[in-house]
Amino acid sequence: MNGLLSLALQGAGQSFWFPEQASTVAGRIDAVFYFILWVSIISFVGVVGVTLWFAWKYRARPGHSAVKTSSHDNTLEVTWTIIPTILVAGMFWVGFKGFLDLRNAPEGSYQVNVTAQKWSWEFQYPNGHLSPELHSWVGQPTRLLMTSTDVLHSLYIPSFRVKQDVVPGRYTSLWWEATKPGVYNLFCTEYCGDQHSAMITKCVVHESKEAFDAWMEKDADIIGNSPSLVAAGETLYNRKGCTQCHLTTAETLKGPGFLVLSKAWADGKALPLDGGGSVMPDENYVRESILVPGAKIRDGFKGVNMPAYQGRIKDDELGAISLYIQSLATDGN
Amino acid sequence: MATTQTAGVEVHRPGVTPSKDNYLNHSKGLMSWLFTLDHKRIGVMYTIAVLAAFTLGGFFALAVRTELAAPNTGDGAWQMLPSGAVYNQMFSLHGAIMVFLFIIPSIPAALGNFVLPIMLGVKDVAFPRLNLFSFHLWILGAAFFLLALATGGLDTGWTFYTPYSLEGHSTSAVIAATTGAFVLGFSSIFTGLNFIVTLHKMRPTGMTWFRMPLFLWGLYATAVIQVLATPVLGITLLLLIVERAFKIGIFDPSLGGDPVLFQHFFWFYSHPAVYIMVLPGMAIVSELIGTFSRKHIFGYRFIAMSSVAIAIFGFFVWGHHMFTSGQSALASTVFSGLTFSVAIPSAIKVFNWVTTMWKGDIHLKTPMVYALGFILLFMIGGVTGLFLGTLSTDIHLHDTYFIVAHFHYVMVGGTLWAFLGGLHYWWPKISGKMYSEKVGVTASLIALLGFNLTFFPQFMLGSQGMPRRYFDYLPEFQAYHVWSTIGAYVLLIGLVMVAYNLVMSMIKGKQAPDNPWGSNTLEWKCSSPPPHHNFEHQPTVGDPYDIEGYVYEPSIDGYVRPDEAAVETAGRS
Amino acid sequence: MSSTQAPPAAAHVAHDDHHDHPAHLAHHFDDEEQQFDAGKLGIWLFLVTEILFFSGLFCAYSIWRHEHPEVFLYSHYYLSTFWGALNTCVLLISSLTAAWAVRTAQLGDNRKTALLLGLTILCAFGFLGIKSIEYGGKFAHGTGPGKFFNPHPEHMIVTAENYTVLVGHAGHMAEGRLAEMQAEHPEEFDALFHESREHVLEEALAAKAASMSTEKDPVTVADLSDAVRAEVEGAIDADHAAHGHGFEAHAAPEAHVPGAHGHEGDVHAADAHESSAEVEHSRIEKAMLHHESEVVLSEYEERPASVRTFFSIYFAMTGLHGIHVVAGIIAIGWVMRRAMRGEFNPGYFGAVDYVALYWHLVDLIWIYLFPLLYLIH
Repeated sequence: MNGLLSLALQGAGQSFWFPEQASTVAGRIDAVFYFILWVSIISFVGVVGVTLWFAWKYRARPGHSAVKTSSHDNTLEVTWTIIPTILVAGMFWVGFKGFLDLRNAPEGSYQVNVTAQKWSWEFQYPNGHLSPELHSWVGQPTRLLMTSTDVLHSLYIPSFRVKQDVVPGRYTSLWWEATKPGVYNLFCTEYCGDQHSAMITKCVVHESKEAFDAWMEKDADIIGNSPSLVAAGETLYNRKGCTQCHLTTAETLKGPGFLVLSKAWADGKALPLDGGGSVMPDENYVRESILVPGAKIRDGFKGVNMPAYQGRIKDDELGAISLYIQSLATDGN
Repeated sequence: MATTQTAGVEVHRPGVTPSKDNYLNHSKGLMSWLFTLDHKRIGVMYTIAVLAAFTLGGFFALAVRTELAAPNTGDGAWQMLPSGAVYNQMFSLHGAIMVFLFIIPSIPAALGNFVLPIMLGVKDVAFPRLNLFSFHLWILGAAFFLLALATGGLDTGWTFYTPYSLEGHSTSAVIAATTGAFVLGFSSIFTGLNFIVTLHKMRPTGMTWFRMPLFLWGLYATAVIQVLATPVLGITLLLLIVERAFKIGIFDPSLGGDPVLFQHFFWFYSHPAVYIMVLPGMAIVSELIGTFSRKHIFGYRFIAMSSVAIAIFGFFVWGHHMFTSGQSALASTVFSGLTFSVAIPSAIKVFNWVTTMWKGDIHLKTPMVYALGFILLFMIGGVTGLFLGTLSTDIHLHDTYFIVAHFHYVMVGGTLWAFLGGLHYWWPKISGKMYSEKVGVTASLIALLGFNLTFFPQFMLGSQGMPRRYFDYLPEFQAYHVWSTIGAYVLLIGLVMVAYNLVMSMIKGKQAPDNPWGSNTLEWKCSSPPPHHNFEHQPTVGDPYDIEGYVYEPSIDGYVRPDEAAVETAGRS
Repeated sequence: MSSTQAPPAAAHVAHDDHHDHPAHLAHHFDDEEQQFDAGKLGIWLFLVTEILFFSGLFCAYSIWRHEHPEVFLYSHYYLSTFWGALNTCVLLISSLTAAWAVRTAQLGDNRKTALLLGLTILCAFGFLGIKSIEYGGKFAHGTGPGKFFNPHPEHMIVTAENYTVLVGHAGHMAEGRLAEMQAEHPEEFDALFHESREHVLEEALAAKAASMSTEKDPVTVADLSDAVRAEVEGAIDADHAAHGHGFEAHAAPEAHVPGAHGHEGDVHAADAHESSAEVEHSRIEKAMLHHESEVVLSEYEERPASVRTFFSIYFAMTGLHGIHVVAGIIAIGWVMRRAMRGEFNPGYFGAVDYVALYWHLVDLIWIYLFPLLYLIH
């Protein structure tokens, strides 16, 4: 057991109960947790200990019999009504105070807009830049304004101890102030379908505003930062949420594997469409399929309902993705 | 022991001679069971039916646990189920079957039906036909669940949250399952209604409210919840079905509906439903602790009233399932405060049970081992509930494995343990046969070990941040999952032993005496198994926990009460 | 559901009984009183569950009405207060006959009981008949529940908010007909209408709107356009007959369209000030000029959002209530048959009592539904 337990505890700053504390509220929430934990342990040991002790001490055995005792005692009843009442009132109070901290974002928070969809996250920064991972920096209260394009999701960063459901048709928000630079897990915790467990990304906390700005500058220019357009296309493929549904092989994940398209393109063969007809793969087909996925649906993929990227992707990025898909058939396949 | 004549009436003395005419052999043939109006037969059919559902639900649970033994990629990867979609159906069906088909009807409908009228000293529940109808509705509801299974599987989770349930894979499966839950809801309502009327209007002379055994108090409080909460689930599911079929736009945000409204409606039922699950369990434990400690139960009125208090408070706490849903901070705060109110009556019960054991003569028979297991598991389930009722810690723990572990401790550790305890306690009465104590106690302890091994690591998993309903997970969580999966198989071994023990008792068990445990509630004053009409003559009602007068009689392996032998007139002549 | 719940106390128990029990007393009850009381408590509890069952819908109703009061105000014009009120009366009468039947059953008059229950059933069918007329109209006008909600503009109701757009559309519809008439009878038309056709239209519309405002029924676009045709046709006929009369509008000065307030009504009154009429004239003309029906449709989307939800709630509530009426018919039919067999007597009439209680609840729910849905202010 020790081996397995210690395996589970690998990782910096992790304790037996919690992942590391990386936000200003984490310490306070953990303190509430430990308060309740100790009250619970004491009650548990008390009750179960006494139960087991009685079960042993008064066990039925030859020569032993029950002693008739009073079957009610109001003083006792009142005592063990009042003590738990006080304890739970205390728990409520400390929990309530911590909750207020969690709910009210301070003035001047850095706001990131979040769009959740099956099964990826999209973070939009005040300058309009989009990224699939969440970035912020140490010491900066960061507020997320979130909505969903399809079903319920929930954004959860364990190391910050924050969580909030993301609801279609309305905005919800949460905030934190990171205390440690690092890369933290960000999960979806509201069940949202087939790939719910793959709706995981990272929250990157930079050391400083400067580091964050440097990242932003670099990240915003994907094409400029890539050695080639094909490489930029690959980066875009990874960043824009394509990976959730499309493989670069011929296998189908949720949508068709890109290699099928790429090969047909290379061989000049048409691809069959849903409801009859076919399409000759080319740059315009790729472009249309990204911007308006419902325009031409490949045979067998009706009802998959890929989200439209119209307005969320630049023209030169479309070109890069197109080149990348085209390159799949020729590179090593 | 022979029968003696007193005042011209043939008096039954607790003995080992099987009664000639009892409810089991009163009439023959499958139809005499399926359309019986006898509450005992209906109770037995419910028992068989809910255990079948439990087996099916358990199969899905094992599939889920086996899949989770390792992550799907990386070193030592393991993937048993073909896809996340199949996994999602497995856990959805596990939850829905266990909640709607097993836990909710387990104690009230199965054991309650068998025991309630006899314990009350009457011939049947107030409305025997309605009772049979409830059972038929259960069968119909179960059929709808099987239909959901057959038509592409249900993948919404047992909670049917909108809008996912409005656009998931299979319309027919969602409609079939919600229709099933709707029908089962009415089954539950009619059982509750029947019990309330029976307890109000049919109590025989001498059976005042405060002479009612605590099991009846528990069933009464449960029935109140069944009657008052379930209709809201009914209308919610009906709206969901109509929404899915006709797109009426009440819950669907794309049509201007409000998905959070569904959660309010759903939990308005489903939180009180937690008390439908656990109140009768507590009530069984209240019976067991006194009997096997050979003591009068301590704090009878407080235990009885705490059941009622839990039933009432239980209606005002549903919003604690929704602290992260986007409901207002004020609502969350109020719900958090109210939630803690439920902790107090629960604590009162536990303290009274422990005090009952004080200076007793504790017989660690199988039912008592389950009762003690219940206290242990319920304590863990209860105190971990405190973390979740507390606002700030719930934000971190909500929808993680911490929740999964918590509600399994309450629902399995609570209801299943009490159900098994009650089943073993009343088994001699139900079947007329004694089971092996040795196997019974061992099975109980193995199951207890397996259960803790399965679910305790999940608390750590949750607080470390592992979300629930995940088909795959990060490698750092694996250690806990491995323990959990091993535990599930240990639990399986324990439960298989339980089944083996009970089946074997029917094949070669000893004939049960009328009163094998020395309890003073009325069901022990008729023969085992009871006659068709429960009692030939109305038993005298007294303090149900006045058990000091009972003496163990080795020749029959049961208890007799020398001073009141004449009172125990029962069905055999 | 409800059909099966009917009076549980009637459980005639199949298994063997005590001989001293009367035939109608189930074996597990001590006496008639206990049996009656048990049934009574049972049915009351059942009614509580029914109320809770409906409470979910009332809750949804309150939330939606609180969030969108304007939708409810707008949409309720689609419901016919006349039919609703008539149905209320029908149900009240049926409740009376049901209550009376309990009394006669208690007195052991099985014949009269059966008769009164028969009347109750008759009323229940009457209720369903009226309801089906209403439902039929809703579906015909495209205001069905959920995906059946696809109203055609001509069935939309005219209110202050959408007056301009809708009147324009009504004019557009009438204009085609007028053009035909002009082609058929050029002389009469020219003699009759010195001013432009558009102006004629405007006056006719305003007149109709004004005259209709005194009626209870809401005015739809189709009503308006029909009125324009009728007015013009009537004028032409009169002209044929009398040779000389011009077209005259005959509107009341204080005329309103439903929901229109203050100046709107004055503006549309036929004898309004010239300047106002001109403003309105140009508005209507403008609207007509580019009101191809698609344009109207798209502008027509300007009706309050979530009207669809109102109809969903309307159909959910009245539909569920209707199912309860059907269940009631079955339950009442069942006790009626028993009354015809002469099964009831002063010691045993519980079943009639319980079914009547259930029927009163069904009635009561309608008493709440009627003002909540039909009479919104």
